Amino acid sequence: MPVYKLHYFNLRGRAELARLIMSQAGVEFEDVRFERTEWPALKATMPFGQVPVLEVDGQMLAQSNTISRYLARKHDLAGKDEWEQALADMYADNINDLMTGMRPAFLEKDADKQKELYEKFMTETVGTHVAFIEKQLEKNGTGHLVGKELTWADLAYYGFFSFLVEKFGEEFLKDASHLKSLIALVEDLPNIKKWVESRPKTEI
Amino acid sequence: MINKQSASNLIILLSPRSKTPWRSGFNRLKGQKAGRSRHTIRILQTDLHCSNMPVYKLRYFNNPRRGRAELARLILHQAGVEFEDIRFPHSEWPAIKPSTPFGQVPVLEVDGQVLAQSNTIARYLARKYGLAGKNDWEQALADMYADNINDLLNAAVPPFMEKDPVKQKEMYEKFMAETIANHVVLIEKQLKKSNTGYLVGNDLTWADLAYYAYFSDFLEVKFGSAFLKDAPLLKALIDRVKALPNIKKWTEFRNSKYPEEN
Repeated sequence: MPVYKLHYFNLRGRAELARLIMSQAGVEFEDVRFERTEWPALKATMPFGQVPVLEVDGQMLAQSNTISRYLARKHDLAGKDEWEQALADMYADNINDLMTGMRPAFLEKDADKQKELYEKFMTETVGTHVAFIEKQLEKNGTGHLVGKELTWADLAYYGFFSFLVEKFGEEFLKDASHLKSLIALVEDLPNIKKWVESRPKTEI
Repeated sequence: MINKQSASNLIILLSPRSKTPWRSGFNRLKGQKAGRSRHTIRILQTDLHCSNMPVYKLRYFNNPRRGRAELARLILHQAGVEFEDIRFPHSEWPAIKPSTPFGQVPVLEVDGQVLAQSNTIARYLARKYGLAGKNDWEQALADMYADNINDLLNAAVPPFMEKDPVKQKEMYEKFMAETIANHVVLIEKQLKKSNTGYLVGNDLTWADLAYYAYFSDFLEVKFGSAFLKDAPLLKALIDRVKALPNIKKWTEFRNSKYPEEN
């Protein structure tokens, strides 16, 4: 079994998906978390000056979705064939875009402006995407995003959308029964439940 | 392989919409559904292709310059794989948008099934045609480099979208001096570790194509090569990709066909 060390801030953020994948797969890993004050010293040790980074038997892999995809493929959470794997990649890319889309609001210092930006993000960016995802879930008809079984795509949507529900409430999902069911499905998985209960509580 | 015949076929196809009633006949011969009208561009395949090969259709805007579809095109051309290179004007987008899975392009149709997200499309093609890396780890490294380029593409959006030319110039200068310069230093360090000058392992992967597309095809064309003066390995890599026969043939054809994209 390779030795996995995941390096990130003490946050969920862009490392949480990898943690969810490893937890669901029952894979041991060292969940290395550091404070913001420690970051300047650590930055130079990361291949591209960024985190998360996954160390696999001492070799470093950067980029959150690359890390997640690598773990998902190694631990049977990536899809049954090339096409399913590509679909799962596509859904993970969607979540990446949504996270990137949220950044301007997240970084805004002025409280009023921030509220405005978040509202716009939720109504336009997220609202539009939720409508598309409902259609895809309906089309697939299995409760999962890809094929008939759980993939990291489901975990990615759970990770981000459960965060949005935490932050903004469930109202934005009122017309998204399939997505709501998917989030609930993942939430109820025993390994996910165990991880969520035991992980450090962080704002994001 | 883009040989002379298929290149001339491409020229026919890359012209404004034309009525091609015999197209449905060809399509039926190829096993496709007849009578599907498509957008501005059509492919005429006089060399009837082996039906084992998937039918690929890549859809993207014809403007702005190359954008997020070019990596997929480079992979397909390098691998010598035929595909329908559909480019539509912005005026057609409202009609096309609802047919895409997430209201975005590029999309890749593979035997009628649709895949979205530029890096997903590129990765799928790279893996199918031996340009993704030799094992799980190399594939992950290639993914990582492609993700870097995705981040850099995202970072170039704010200056690109800026309407005020003075502010835009300032934003691009900051972008080159900070974001790009920082990344170039880090990539040069990674390339120093390579035995072959490629980003991953000992062979060409889509990671090299991604870095070529961004650093040569976009940044060098826009800003010149000065920003690469302290990055001889990166410069050597992008020059090497530029000179690959299939890439060279494609870019020469493309640059003359779409000068507005240069």
